[in-house]
Amino acid sequence: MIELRGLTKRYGATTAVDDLTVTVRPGIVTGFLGPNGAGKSTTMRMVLGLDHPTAGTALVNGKRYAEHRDPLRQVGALLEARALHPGRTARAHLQALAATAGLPRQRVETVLDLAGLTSVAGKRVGGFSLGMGQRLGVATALLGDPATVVLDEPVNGLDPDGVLWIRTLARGLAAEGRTVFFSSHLMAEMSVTAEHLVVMGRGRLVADVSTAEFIRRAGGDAVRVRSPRAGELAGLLTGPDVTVESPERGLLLVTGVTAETVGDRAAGAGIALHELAPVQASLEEAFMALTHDDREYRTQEQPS
Amino acid sequence: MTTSTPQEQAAEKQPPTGGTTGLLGGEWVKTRSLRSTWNVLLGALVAMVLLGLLFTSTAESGGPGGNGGGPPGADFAQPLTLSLAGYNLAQLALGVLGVLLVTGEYTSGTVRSTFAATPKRWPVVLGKAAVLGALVLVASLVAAFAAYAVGAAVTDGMPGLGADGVLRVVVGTALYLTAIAVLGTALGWLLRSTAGAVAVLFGLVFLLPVLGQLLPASWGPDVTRWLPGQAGGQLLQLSTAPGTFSPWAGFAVLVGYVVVGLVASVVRLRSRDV
Repeated sequence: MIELRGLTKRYGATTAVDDLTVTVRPGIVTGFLGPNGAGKSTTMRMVLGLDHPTAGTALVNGKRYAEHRDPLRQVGALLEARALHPGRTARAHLQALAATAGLPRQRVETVLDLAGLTSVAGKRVGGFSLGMGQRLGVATALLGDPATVVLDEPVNGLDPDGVLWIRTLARGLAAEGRTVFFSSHLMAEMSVTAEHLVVMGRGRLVADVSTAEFIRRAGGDAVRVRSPRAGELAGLLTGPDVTVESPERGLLLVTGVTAETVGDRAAGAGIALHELAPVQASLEEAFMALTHDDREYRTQEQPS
Repeated sequence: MTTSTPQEQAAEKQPPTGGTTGLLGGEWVKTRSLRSTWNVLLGALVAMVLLGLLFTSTAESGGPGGNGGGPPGADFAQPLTLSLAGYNLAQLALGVLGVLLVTGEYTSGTVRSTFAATPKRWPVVLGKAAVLGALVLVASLVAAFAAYAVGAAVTDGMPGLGADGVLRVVVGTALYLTAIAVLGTALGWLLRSTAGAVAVLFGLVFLLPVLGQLLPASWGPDVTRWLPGQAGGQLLQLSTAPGTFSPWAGFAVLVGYVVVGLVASVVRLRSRDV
C-alpha cells in the first residue's frame, strides 16, 4: 500500500509534483502513466525516501519509508535502468544489498534465477545489455521479497520476451497480494498490464481510474454510420447531447447515442445502412487527449 | 517468485535488518568486488617498497638523500625516512581509492539502492570509512614494514625497530595513509564528483604546502603546519623541528580533518536528495 497525501516537490520555480493525493492498493497492478517530465520518477523517488518532499507525505505500508526498520522487505524498487556499478558482478551487486538487509544468501540465487541471470551472475555488469541490466534491476527490486514493488519504466530496453516476462511477473506479484506500482509512458503497455491507472501530467494528477473505465471513456460513444440517405438520417438522430458530423458525403460520425439506437431509428424510417460501427478511439489518443495540455515537451503543432 | 506471501513471511520473524554486521558486510562486498580496489592497493604497496629501495640504495651518491637537504622538518639524510618516502605517492593512490568508492556510487547510480537499503544514510558514511580504513590499514602496514625491511637490507645506517621512535614512524606511516584514504571518502560524499574530490585532495595534500612555502617566513610555517599532510606527516618524522607539531599532536590534527569531513558528509546527506 502506497499513500500519497498532498505530495509536492518543487525545484526552485519548477513544480515537479504538485499536490498529489493517491492511494495505490495491494492486490492489483497500478499503472503510473504520464508523458516524460510529468513527475513520475520524482514521485517514486519520494516514495523511496530518496528525495525529500517540499510538502505532503508519502507513506509505504503505513509508514514513511525511512521509518521502516526493514526497508528492503517492505519495498522493492527498480528506479532507473543501470543503477549498477559496471565493474561489479551481478551476484556481488545483489550480495552487497542482501548482506546490508540481513537477507539469507540463498535469496540472491533465487532472484538471479527468477530473472534468468544465473548463467551470467559472475560476469561484470559493464558487459550487460540494456535488457540484462533491467532484469538485474528487477532482481534487485525483488531481493527482499517485498510487500510493495515499485517499478519505474521497467519495460524500457526489453525485447518482446522481456516485456512479456515483466507483465506476467507484475501480475503474479499482485496476485500474491502485493502492491505493484508500475510506471510507463506507453499507454498500450499499461492497458494490458495494469488494472488501475494513475495518470499524471505536468506534476498534477490527471486521472485515477480503473483501466476498464479509462478504456470506456477513451472509446467514447462515437458511432460511424454510412448510408446513401445520410442527410435524412442525421435529422432523425438530433437530440440533446447528440452531435452529428459529416466528414464526407454519405458518412456520419455520431456521438451521444449508441449504435443500437442509430440502427433502430434507421430501420424505423426504412433507411438503408451500408456501415454501422462503434468507433474505438485508440488508448494512445485518449491518453494524449487527457495529457495534451500537460506535456512538458512536445513538438510544435503544425498550423492546419 | 517465492511461495510465501508477505503475511507468511512476517510470521517467520526473521531479523528485521542486517544491523551493523550487515552494513559492514555489505560495504565489504562492495569494496572487494571491484577490481580497482585491489589494483590500487597492490600499486600503492609496490610503489612504496620500490621507491624506498630506490631512495635508500642511492643515498650514498649525493643529492637531497645524501647530504641532508629537503624541506625543514624532514630529515632526508635519515635512512628510515628515505625507506618510507614512497608514502608520498601511495597517499595519492589511496586517497583516490577513498574518493572513488564513494563517487563510484554516484556515477553508477548504486547510491540509490545503497540509501534505499539504509535510509538513515549516516551508517553508510561510517561503514564505508570503517571498511576502507581497515583494508588500507592492513595493506599499508604490510607496505610500510616491507619498505623498512628492504631499506634496512640495502643500507648500513638503518636504525633498528627497537630504537627510539622507529616503530612509531613505521606504524605511523600506515596510520597516516589510512587517514588520507578515509579523508578521500569524506571528500567524495561532500563533492559527489570524482574530478572535484580528487582535485581538492590533491590540492590539500600536494599543492597548498608548496604554495605555503611562498608565504613570509615569519608566519607562513604557522599556517602550513595546520595542513592535513603537513600535520599528519609529523608522525612520520623521527625528530620534530621546532615550530612544528609533535608527532601525535600532528596526527590528531589530521584525524580532526577526517572527523570534520565525515560529520559534514553526514549532515549534508541528511537533507540532500539522492
